[in-house]
Amino acid sequence: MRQRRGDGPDTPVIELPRRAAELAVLPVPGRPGLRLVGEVDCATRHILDAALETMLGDAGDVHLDLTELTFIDVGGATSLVLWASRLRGGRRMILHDPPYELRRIIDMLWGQPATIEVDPP
Amino acid sequence: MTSPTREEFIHEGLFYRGRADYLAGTVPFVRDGLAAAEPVLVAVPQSHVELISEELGDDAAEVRFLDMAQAGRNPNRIIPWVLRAFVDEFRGRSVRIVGEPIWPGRSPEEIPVCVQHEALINVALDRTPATVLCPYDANALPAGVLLYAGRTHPVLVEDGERRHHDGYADPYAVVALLNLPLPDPTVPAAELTFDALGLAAVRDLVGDRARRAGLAPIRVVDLQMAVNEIATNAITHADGYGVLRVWQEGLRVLCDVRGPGEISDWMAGRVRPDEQSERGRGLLLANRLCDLVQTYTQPDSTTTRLHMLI
Repeated sequence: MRQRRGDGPDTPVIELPRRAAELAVLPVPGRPGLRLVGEVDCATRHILDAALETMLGDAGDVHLDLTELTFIDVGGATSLVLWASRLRGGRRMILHDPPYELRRIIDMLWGQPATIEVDPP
Repeated sequence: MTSPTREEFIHEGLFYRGRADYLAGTVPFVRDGLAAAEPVLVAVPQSHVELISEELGDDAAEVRFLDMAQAGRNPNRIIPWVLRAFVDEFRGRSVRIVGEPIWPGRSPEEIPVCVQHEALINVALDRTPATVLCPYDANALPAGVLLYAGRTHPVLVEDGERRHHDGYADPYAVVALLNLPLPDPTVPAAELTFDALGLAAVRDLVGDRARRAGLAPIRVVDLQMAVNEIATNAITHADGYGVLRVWQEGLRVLCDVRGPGEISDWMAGRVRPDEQSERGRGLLLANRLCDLVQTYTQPDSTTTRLHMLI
């Protein structure tokens, strides 16, 4: 028996606009870090990677403001986790308000990486 | 001389008939493991967890239990998240596992995926010091399922007798035999062609249709994440376009992703890569998030069908 609600998910789509992810990476005022606005997928990962590269020389913890990050895929999460794994000397990457996707990916695929802190936990 | 027992993987199928036979086949196997100080995992449907646990009495405290209907809902999850996870947790020690991935009530589309999984266990745990015993309900499972159990288990146990047999087949041959076209949707599906600059629209369409179907909000996001990974693989491992289809059948939301290229490695999505690896996690995550993942691959295209129960 088929269940239908409203239009149902089986209504054919004739045409849907092609939509690409967009990502802006902005500085965080007053502390080393980045503010990510938009979506990270295979179309925008290179923007994230390039921004992370510029942070390598900085000292202290790195803060990522993720309040306006609306999507991140496994590739983007991999960039963050591998970048953080290169931190030494007690430095950590702090993820502020990460979207559900990022928490889920890190939790399922890495558990609790040593140099990543999630805020709020 | 044969190689030391510790390096040997043993994969046994147990044909049981009724509750007493189930306990006679599994409980001594568990107790032998405990007596040898081996870590023991029992991953079977919850009703069988209770049966075995009750029979073991105080010894149950020494055994790890998992409800396979949850942990192994999607059979493609079982190798990385159940079997390999347990083996790796006790690396260097012999372990013992009762694993029951096929039970009466598995839906028809789940069965071939389960059989492929059973075959690939032999690849995944090759030369691993583990003994895995897989109970099959010989009273209730279709005859074809029991025949395939012989193809995927080098050793069969029945009526208390343990025997090597000639029916065991090359795991990849079994997997290839079950690489079958997926049936067309029974209702008109929403369809979208995409490339690398269109994945946001892929996520939009999946989200829209899954929400309308009544999928819980968190599972909508899980499905979007899973489809996004499969779509990413479809277009980045090969040039060209992918096609997404989304529809609902009964209490399932289904998403097909078809892309160019053939899958050559059937272990993809069943292996947890090294922590520092750049790749190899997309299909793994989709297997973890979805209730069933079917694959049909041909020389020029691969279709992956993701199921989410509403």
